[in-house]
Amino acid sequence: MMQLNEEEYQTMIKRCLRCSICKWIPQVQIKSQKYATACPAIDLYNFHPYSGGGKIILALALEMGRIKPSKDLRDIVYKCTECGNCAIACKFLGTLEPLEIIMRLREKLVKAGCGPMPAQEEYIKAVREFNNPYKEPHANRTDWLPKDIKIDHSAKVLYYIGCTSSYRRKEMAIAAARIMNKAGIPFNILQDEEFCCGSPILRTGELDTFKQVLNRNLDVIESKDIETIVFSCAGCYDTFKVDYPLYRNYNFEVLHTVEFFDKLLEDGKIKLTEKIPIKVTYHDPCHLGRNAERYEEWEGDVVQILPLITIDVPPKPKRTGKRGIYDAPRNILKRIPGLTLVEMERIREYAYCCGAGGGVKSAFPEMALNTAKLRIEEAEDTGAEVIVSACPFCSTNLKEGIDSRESDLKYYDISELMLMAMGLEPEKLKWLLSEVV
Amino acid sequence: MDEKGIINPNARGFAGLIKSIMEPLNDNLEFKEKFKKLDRKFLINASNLNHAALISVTQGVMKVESVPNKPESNLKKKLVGWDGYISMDSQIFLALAMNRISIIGIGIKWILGKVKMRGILKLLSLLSIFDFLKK
Amino acid sequence: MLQKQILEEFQKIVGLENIDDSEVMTNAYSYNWCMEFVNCTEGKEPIPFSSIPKAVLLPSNTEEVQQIVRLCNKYNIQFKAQSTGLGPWNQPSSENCVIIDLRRMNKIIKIDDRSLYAVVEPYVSGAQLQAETMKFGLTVHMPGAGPQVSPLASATSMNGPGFTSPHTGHSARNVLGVEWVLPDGEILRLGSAGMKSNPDWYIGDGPGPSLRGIMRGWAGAKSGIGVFTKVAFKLFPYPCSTKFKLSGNSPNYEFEIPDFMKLYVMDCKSYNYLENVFLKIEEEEISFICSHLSGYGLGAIFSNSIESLMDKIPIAGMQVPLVVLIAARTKREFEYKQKVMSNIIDDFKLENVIGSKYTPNSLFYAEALRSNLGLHGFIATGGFQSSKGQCDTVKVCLKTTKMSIPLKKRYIKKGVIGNDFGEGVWITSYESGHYFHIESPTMFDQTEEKSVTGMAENMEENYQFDLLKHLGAPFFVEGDKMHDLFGPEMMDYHKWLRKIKKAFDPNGIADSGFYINAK
Repeated sequence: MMQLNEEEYQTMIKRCLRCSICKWIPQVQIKSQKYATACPAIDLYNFHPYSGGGKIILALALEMGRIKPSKDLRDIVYKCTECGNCAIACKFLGTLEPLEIIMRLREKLVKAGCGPMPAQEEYIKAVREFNNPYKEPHANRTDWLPKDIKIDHSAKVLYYIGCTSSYRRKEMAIAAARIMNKAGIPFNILQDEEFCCGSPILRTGELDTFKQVLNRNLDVIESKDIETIVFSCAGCYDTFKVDYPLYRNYNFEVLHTVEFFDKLLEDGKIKLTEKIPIKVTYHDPCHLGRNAERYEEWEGDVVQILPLITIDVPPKPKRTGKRGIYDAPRNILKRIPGLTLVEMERIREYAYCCGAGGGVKSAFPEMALNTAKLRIEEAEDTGAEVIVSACPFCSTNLKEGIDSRESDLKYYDISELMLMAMGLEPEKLKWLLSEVV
Repeated sequence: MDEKGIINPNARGFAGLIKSIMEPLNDNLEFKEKFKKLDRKFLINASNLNHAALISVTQGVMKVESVPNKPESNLKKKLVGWDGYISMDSQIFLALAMNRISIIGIGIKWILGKVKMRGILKLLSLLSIFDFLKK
Repeated sequence: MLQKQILEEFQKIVGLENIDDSEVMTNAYSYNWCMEFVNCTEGKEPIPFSSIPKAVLLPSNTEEVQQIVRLCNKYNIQFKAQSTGLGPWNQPSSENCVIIDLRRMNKIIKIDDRSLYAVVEPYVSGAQLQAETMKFGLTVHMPGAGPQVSPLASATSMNGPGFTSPHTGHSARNVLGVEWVLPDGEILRLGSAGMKSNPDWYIGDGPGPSLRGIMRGWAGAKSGIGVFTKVAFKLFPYPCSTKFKLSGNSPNYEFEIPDFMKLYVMDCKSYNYLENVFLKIEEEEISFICSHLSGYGLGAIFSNSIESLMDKIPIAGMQVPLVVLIAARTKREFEYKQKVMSNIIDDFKLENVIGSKYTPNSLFYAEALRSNLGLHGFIATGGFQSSKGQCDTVKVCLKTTKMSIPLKKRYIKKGVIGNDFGEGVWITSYESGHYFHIESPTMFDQTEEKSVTGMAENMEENYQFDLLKHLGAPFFVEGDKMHDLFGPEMMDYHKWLRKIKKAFDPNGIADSGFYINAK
C-alpha cells in the first residue's frame, strides 16, 4: 500500500511553490467570493503557515534546522482539522500531498516529544483506560441499544457503532439499527468488545498507540466470522477503510451506512413512503468524501525521460477524492418523497470541513466552533430548513454551530430522516414538519 | 514472457511509455485497415533508460512489450526476434516525436554513431506508424 | 524578533492576535518560490528562504496600515507588503523588515456594472472577483500567475500579462482610482478617488498630473513605493454566457462548454508567418485568447500532469503553434467571429487541428475562462520561471524568441533546465494587437542545486544577451543591480527612478529589494 515514504517526504517538502492554491477550493469551482476558501485554519488565523502550503514550509524549515520543535510550531501544526481540502486543491495540477505531509509532521513532533496537544493526550489516555475518548465507562457503551432492536450474533454483517454514536449521538445508532431491522438485515454488534477505532489518536500523530488499537480491534473482528462491517460514523469508516490496510490487511468488506442503505433502497428492501416536504442541504463529511479513498498499490517505474523530467509508468494513482462517497447519500435523499435537496456551494470533494476533526475539537474548541458556524451560514444561504450529514462528529459540531448562531436550521443524520420516511418515527416527523413549515 | 524470460508483456519503464502512446492506435480503424497485412516487430531502445520497447504489429493490431536493455546482449535479434531496431538517447526520441529533427538529421546522427539502426528498410514502416500518431 | 516596546506598539495597532514575531512564523514567511536563484544571483546559498523578517503583521484596514508605516518610520524598520504573496518579490531584502500581510483586507468594495469597474482590497483573488462580476455579465483581467492571486497586486505592483490580455488588456492599463499609503505614512488617493468633493473611483488620472506611471512604471514597485490598500480597475464584458457548470470530480471535471465558443490551434510553421497571422487576427479584434506557445507549452495547457502530456505529443509536435479562443454572447456575434477566422485561415492557408486531429477536454474551456492556464507550466518539473520577457511589438517579441533559442539550448544541453528545444515561450497580444507580451518559461527543478544554479546563470546570461542584442527591457528588471545594468542603456531611466524613490520614500522605509534604492 502506498503512503509517502521518508524519501518522498523529504523531496516533496522542497517543492511547495507558495502559490496559495491550497487556501481555495479548486479555482474552477469558485462561484462566489464568500464561499471560495478551503482551509478552516487560515480562514480563522490568517497567517500563511496555517495553510496547507504553510505547513509544508514549516516541515521544510524543521528538516533544515531553521526552526526547532516548539510550542509555537506545535500549535500551528495542530490547528488543522486534517480535512484534506488543501490536498484536493493542490492536486488539481500539482503532485504534492499536503495532508500526508501534515500527518507526517505531527508524527515527527510526537517523536520529538512536542505533540500531541495536552487536550489530545487526555483523550488518548482515556482511550487506553476507557476504550473511548470521552472517559465514559466502557460498560455503558451499549446503553444506546433499545431493547426491541434484534441483534443476531451469528450474522455476517457487523454494525460498528463507534464511540461518538455510542455515547453522544445515540439517536444515530438507534436509527441505523432500526433501519437494518426493518430491512430484515441480520446484524451483529461487538458489544463490550467494541473499542475506539483509533481515528482520534491517528490524527494526532501518535502512531504507536494507534497501531495497538488497530491490532486489538482487528484481532477481535477476525476472531468472528464477519464478512461486512457497516459504519454510521464517517471517522470510523475512513479509519478502517483507508488507514487500517496501511498497517495490516483484512478480509472483510467495509461500508458506510449510506452505501449500505442506498443499496437496500435500490433492491427494494427499504421503502421510503412518508412524505417529508422540507428543503435540505447535505454536508459531505471529510472522512466519507474526499478522504475515504483507499491507497492503491503501484508497481511501476519512474522513468527519467529527459533531464529533470520524470514520468511514472504507468501513472501513479493520485488520491483526489474521486472515489469518495458522494452519490449514495444524495440518492437516498432524492428518494425521500417531497424532499428537496439544495446544494451548498462547497460540496463533494471540495466540501468545507465541519471543524471537528484532526483533534481540533478537543485542542482548539474555538476553531471547531468558528468553522462550524461558517458551515452553518453556508447551509443557511441555500435556503434549506435542515442540514443533513452522515457522521456523528460532524453532527455534534454542526449542532453546536447552529446553537451558537441561534440558527433556525435543524440538523439530522441521514438515517434519522430515513427512519421518518419509513414511517417509523411519526412523532418526530410531525414535530419536524411543524417546526419548518 | 518468452522462453528465455526476456520479453515482458507488462511493458515496463520506457516501453510502458511507448505502450501508452502507441497502443491507443488499436482503436483507430484507419490504422487497422492500413496495416492489416503487416507482420513486423520493431525494437526501440532508449539507450539512457531501461527497458526497450518491442512493438509488434500483426494484422493491424499493435502490441508493446518490454525487454530489459542491460546487458546489451538482451537486445540481439536472435533473442528478441525483431525485424527492425533503433537505439538512441531519449532526447533524440522526443525530438523525433515532436518533429524537431528530420529524417536527414537522424541520418546524420546515425553516421556520428549517436543513433543505431538495423533493418533500416523495415524501420520505414515504423515511421508510417508514427505518422499515424500525428493524425 | 522585535524589541518588546516596538512589539507592543505594533500590537496596539493590529491587536495581539494579528502580529507574530516568533521564530516559527518569521521563518515560514521567509520562504518563497524562486528564492533559490535570487539567492544564487546574490552569491548566497541557493535555498528557498530569504532574509527573515522581524515580524509579520495583519492589518485589517487602511488606517492600520498607515499607523504601521508611521511606526516603521519612527523606528527605522523597513516594511514589505504582500497579499497573496506568490514569488520572491514578496520577500524582505534584509532582516530589518516587517512583513505586512494584507490578508485581512479582503473586501470587494464596489462593482459598478454601468461604468464597468470594481473596487477591491488587496486580498480579493482574481477568481473571487470574477465569480462576483460574472453575476453582472462581466469579467476581470487576471494575470498569468493564476486566478488565485491578487488583481490589486498585479495592477499596482507587478507586471500584468494574462492569457486573456487580447480582451482584458494588461494590469497596468486597467488601473483607475487607487488608495495608496505612501512610505512616509501619508495616504494618497489617485484619480477621482482623490477628489475633495464626491470622490469616486472611475478615473485613475489626476487630480493634477497623473501619478499612475510613477506608481508602477511598467513592472511595478513590488512594495518599494508604499502599500496599496484599494484599487479600482476596469471590468470587461464576460465573453460568452456566464453559465459555468461543472460535473464529475477533481481534477477531471467535465465542463458544459457555453454556446458560442470555439478554439483554434494552428501551426504557423515559421515565426515570420506567425507575425503576420498574429497581427491579422488581432487587428480584427475578435479573440478572447490569442497566444503563441511552444510545442511543449501547447501540450501542457491541455494536460494536468506530465503523464497526460505524453499523449499530447502529436499536437505538441507543431512547429509554431498559435492558440486562438473566440467567444461570443450572441449567435450573430459568434457567426461573425467565426467567419472572420475562417477567412483568415483560408487567406493564410492554415489548418485548425481542433476537432480534427485533437479535441481538448471540456475542462480546458473552464480553465481558459478562469485564467488558470498559466499554472500548467509547473507540471513537467514542478518548477518554472521565465528567464526573459518583454512588452513590445510582435516583431521584437518574435525576434527575441528566435535569437534566444541557441542560448537556451546550451543550458538544455548542460541538463540544468528542461528540454523544450529552446522554444519555450509564451507570447500574447494586449488589447487586440496594440502591443505584445513575451516571456520565456523555463523549466527547472528547485530541489536540484545544479538546476537552480544553472537557471540563475541562464537568467543572468539572458539579461546580458538582451542588452547586447537590443531586445528591450526584460521582464524582471528589478533591484538596484538590474536597474544599474539596464538604465545606462535605456536613457538613464534608473536615475529618474531613484529620484522618484527619494521623493516618495526619503527615509528608505519601503523595502526596495525588488524596486530601487535611492542612493
